[in-house]
Amino acid sequence: MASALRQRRLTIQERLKRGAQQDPYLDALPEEPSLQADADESRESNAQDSARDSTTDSTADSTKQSLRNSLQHGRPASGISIELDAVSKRFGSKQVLRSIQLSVQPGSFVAIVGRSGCGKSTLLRLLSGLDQASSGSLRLQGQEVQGIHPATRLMFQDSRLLPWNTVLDNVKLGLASTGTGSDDPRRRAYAALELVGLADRAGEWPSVLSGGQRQRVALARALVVNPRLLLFDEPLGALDALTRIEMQRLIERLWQRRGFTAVMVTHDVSEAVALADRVILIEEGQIALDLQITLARPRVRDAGFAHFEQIIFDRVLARDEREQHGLHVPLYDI
Amino acid sequence: MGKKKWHLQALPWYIPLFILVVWQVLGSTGLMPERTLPSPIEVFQAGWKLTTNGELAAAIGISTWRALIGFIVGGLLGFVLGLLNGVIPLSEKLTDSTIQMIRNVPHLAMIPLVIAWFGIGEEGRIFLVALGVFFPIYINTLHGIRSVDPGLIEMGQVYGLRHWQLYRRVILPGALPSILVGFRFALGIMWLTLIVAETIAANSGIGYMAMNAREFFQMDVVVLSILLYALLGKLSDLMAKGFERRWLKWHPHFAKEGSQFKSG
Repeated sequence: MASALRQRRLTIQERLKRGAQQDPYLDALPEEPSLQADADESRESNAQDSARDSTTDSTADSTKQSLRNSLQHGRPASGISIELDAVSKRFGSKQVLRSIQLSVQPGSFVAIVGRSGCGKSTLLRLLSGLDQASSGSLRLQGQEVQGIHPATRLMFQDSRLLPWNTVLDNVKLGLASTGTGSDDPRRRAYAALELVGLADRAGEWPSVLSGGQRQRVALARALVVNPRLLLFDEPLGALDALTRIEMQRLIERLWQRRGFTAVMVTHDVSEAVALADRVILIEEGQIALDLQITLARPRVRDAGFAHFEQIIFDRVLARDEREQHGLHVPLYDI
Repeated sequence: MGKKKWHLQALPWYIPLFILVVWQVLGSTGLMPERTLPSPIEVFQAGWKLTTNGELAAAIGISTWRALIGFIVGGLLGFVLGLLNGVIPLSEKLTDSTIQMIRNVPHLAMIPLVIAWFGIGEEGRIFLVALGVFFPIYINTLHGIRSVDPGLIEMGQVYGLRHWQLYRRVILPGALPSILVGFRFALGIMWLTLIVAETIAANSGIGYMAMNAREFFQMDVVVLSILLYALLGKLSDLMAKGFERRWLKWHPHFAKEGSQFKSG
């Protein structure tokens, strides 16, 4: 028992030592045979679809068709672009977001940081379609956001697994929106669980899993349809430090492999620098800093890393100093 | 291990068995006169006599039938209204305060009125049982639906669950523990209502059998009827527990209950 524990601890240390070069979960599956089979299938169906599309000759239809295909088959769908134009959000008399102007490249990884209550989670809810902007325009892949986009997935801070469904059924829930057309949901859910290294827990209830395992199941549920936009609402906030770093690496690997657009809200600056191509700092409902992180991946916590962290911290603290002329001393969680 | 398990399972039966023995001893030694309380053996003999002449089966049959019909009518109404009011705010605004007012009237106080309406026919008893069963099921269904984690509902929406799917996969399973609590309460109220209704206004059933026996001073049959109610109540409680075990397997509480004996 004790030796097993020691061994487990050792492997965690090894993982950390090995750095991001080797991912414990992904390397366990050398070639992901099931997903590759999917890719082959979809290549075939692509040919059929393109034939069908040329006869209908309707661009709207074909984009819908390709979207449906990318959801139904395991074909890696490329990320979608996001354009925000003068987006504002008001709750009653409280202005939460003020005229946000933002454009995100398809397939990039954007981190949004800021104090609690700065509006960063509201921005994410607008992107997910759960809330609607009070004014301005918000487009995904050139299309105005209307309600919840079928190619968007959202990961919450708590895993939000259904306690009355097994782990596998919880992952299958991610396929609900694709209807009955998707082939063998069980196999696909299983493949997604393998991706996060939890295939052996497929038959268990979520209540017996640890917090980190639950978040991994939630990640599998989000990835099972190959989303084109994945939104993270502080998904690692409640995890311990080691699990957190493991999860960050897992998310980075999966993002690199799948090529979806990722937007992550976090209050952890080093998490933002570790993962994102671009860090956006929001203060009082406005973009206060928009920083490209030009570090090479996989990222190591070296001087360059610290440099970027420092820039962000400086910007946040500068505001503190400004505010000290006022009467209140702000609390911050950044 | 096997012996230990047997001991643990017999544990709830020690006290009833002890009472039975003391009761028999008191009866046999003449410390307790037969006119106050007949001994268990006398009750058993009365039960045997009524079983062989078929009276007992007929009485249990008719009482169970009444209980079931009343339960189904009242339970279904309570469940549907609870569901509607839990999901549609307008429906709740419209009906909830009326239901709460009626709930606070003890339904057994309506017996004189019910006799006036229905005489001593079946409708009156079924009406009373349905009325009694309605409220616990209604309140617990409503409460269950309200207490479903809004985060889970939001998650269901993000993952593309619509209307019926959202109810089936998220709202109903989330409300189920509370609904089953209402179910258990309702079963208790069902028997209580039926006993009172059958004792006061009936010409068949267990309650009638007891009242009739009192007229002829057959104390053994009176006690037998009371024991029958206890048994039927226990049976329905076991049924409710069975449903809980079956449908709430996922719940940590019931998972623990299942493994309790294994670890002990």
